[in-house]
Amino acid sequence: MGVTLALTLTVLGSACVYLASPNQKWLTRALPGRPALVAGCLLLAAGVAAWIAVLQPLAGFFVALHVAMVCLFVFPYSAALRSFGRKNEHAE
Amino acid sequence: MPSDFRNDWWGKASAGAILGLGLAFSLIGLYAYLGPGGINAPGGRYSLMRYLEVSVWIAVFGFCFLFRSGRAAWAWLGAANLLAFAAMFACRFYFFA
Amino acid sequence: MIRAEIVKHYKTVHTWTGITCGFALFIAFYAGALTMFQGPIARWASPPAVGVAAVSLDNASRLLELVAAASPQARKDGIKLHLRGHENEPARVTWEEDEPHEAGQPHGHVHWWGTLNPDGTLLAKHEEPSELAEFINDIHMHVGIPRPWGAYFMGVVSLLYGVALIAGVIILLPSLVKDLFALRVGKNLKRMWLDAHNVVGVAALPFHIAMALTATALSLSGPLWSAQEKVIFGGKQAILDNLDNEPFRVPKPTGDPGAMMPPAQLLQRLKVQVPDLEPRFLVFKNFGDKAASVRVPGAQSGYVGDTHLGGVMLSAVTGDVLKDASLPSRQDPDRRASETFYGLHTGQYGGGTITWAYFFLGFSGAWLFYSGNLLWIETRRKNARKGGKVEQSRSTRLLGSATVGVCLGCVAGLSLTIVAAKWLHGHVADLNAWHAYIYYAVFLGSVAFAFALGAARAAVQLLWLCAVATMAIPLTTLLAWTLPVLDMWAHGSAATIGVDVVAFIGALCFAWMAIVTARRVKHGPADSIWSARAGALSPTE
Repeated sequence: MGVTLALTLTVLGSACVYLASPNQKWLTRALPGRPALVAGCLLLAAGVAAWIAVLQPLAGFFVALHVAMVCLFVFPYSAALRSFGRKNEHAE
Repeated sequence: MPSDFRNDWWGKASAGAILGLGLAFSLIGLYAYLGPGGINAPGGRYSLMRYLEVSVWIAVFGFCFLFRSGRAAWAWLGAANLLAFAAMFACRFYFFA
Repeated sequence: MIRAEIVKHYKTVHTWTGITCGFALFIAFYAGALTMFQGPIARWASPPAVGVAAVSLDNASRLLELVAAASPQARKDGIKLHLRGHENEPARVTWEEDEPHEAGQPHGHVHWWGTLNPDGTLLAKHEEPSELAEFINDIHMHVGIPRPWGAYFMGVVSLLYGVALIAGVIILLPSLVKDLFALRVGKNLKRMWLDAHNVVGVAALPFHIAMALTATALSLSGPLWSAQEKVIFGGKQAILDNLDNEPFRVPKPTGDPGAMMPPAQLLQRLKVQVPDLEPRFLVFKNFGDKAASVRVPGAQSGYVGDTHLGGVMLSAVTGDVLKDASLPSRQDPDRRASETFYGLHTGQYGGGTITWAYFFLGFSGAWLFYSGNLLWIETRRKNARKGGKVEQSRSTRLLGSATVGVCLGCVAGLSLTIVAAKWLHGHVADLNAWHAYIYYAVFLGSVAFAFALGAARAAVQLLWLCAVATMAIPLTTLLAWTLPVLDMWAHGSAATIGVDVVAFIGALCFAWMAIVTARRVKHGPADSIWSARAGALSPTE
């Protein structure tokens, strides 16, 4: 239960940070930069807090950090693969 | 602005690799003698020192290419080594006279 | 603002450290990602056995007594009592004995397991367990180079990897914010590979820094330790080693017999005294003696590096905790910091979430080095003039072949050696040696193949080999399940089925990459080492 909540918060926070970037490719237009970034950081902070509640402070911080790292390279790649697939469909 | 920045690959890299390692041992040696608990610190210290040593080594090696030239890298890092080793040997003679 | 000449300077540093270390790091990261599931892979590869359940915990005391009486060496060096019922635990108890050897000489060990016959007597059997998972870990640590040189080599590689990371960050600093998360797919292949390389490198930077530091320290730990003693302490300080071993030192046997507490009761006593320790197994030493002890390794949840040294020692007579200084919660601050470094390398914390995160981060690392090499090739590509033919330089062609051969050879070799655990079991005398033969044969064969055919053609064929070899993992399990006549096995636990499912998905990914690469070889720009048309231009033409 605690793990699910912590994981959800961390993934949602990373998604907000990604969507706040002008380079995001999920939406046609990026979310408004400042508020989305603030929301993302708040969610990530809540995620860290939730992980710390499940584990010890140090381990909680590192788990949140590593989950966020995975999210932050998987999101751009997922968007790139989608556009890659679309381009190939057009080509054929 | 005329630049005196030189591409001394081998001069800088050798300074980073050799003097970086020297700085790693001397600085972490100071920690071993002067850190909390001192020379009689519990057994975990020896194990931790490896990680601290490579942190210093990698940082010096990585950033040594910022020096203007190979000679500057050897001069500055050499001086730092002299100071750090002098302090560390002083500790060694103090604790193991 | 960083001066342009410094950035240019560091680009050279990054390129050369990256190119020289990229191959070894690819192998280390790919095999390292697999070691995150070392346990499940070991269970997948272990043949069906008597199992832990054959002797209940209540009857385990009797079994321990019989083993202690039958093997004096096991009684002294330790009898392992298994608790979890995993497939790689052949029976309730296991132990090791020395191979016959001359006194004082280095020697190997033979493995035994023991269970109870229906009439209550001891059934002991000598059987070597599968060392497949250890082999994968060995490839991860030494990239297949014999000891001790493999460790030294990886130490130097990891050191240069750290330098490459610093250089990479310095190069990126001017455009870091502007290009964050950008991955531009399009006609500009150099741009695309650069983005693909940077996204992974920047997003996972803390992971890579931790890996570079810890991998250097762990690979070079032997030389560093002896240098520490000489340089720092002038050979006058060895006492710390003794302190290190204190938590594991066993009380001397008295020679007087003592009544042993039954294992079930020991576990209850443990639960009362150290509630947050999850025991993995119990090791009894000097069983039957008044000073007999039990070591209980296990994870103390919530700490980084929770399992490495974690554990306690109990008295086998009273069940009281004798030593607990190695528990994460009881370690001194230096030990805790050191174990935190170690745990950050191995992902020993945070349970399944971290296992999976490290698994993906490991693959992303492998991809970082693969894409780095491709980027080098793409940057040096000579563009064909209108209508004219162009020949790519010798160095880009060779690097292309090496990248394809080494990386895909490692992937295919590991997959096939995993498959061999089931097919060769019972058919060869020394299966653990065969794991190495198969890996090296496939790896070296792939490298030779890539140099012979050129990167473009070899990449497609070798990617199909990777896909087929990896698909063979779940297919073998499926065959074993449907055709018992093959005399293989298909375990039903979630962990081992997980190995099959992950391999299935991995195989689909390799097949997809093979199709995409084949399309590029056919239709992509001809002035590239990735084109079979360009590859046809041999140097003699």
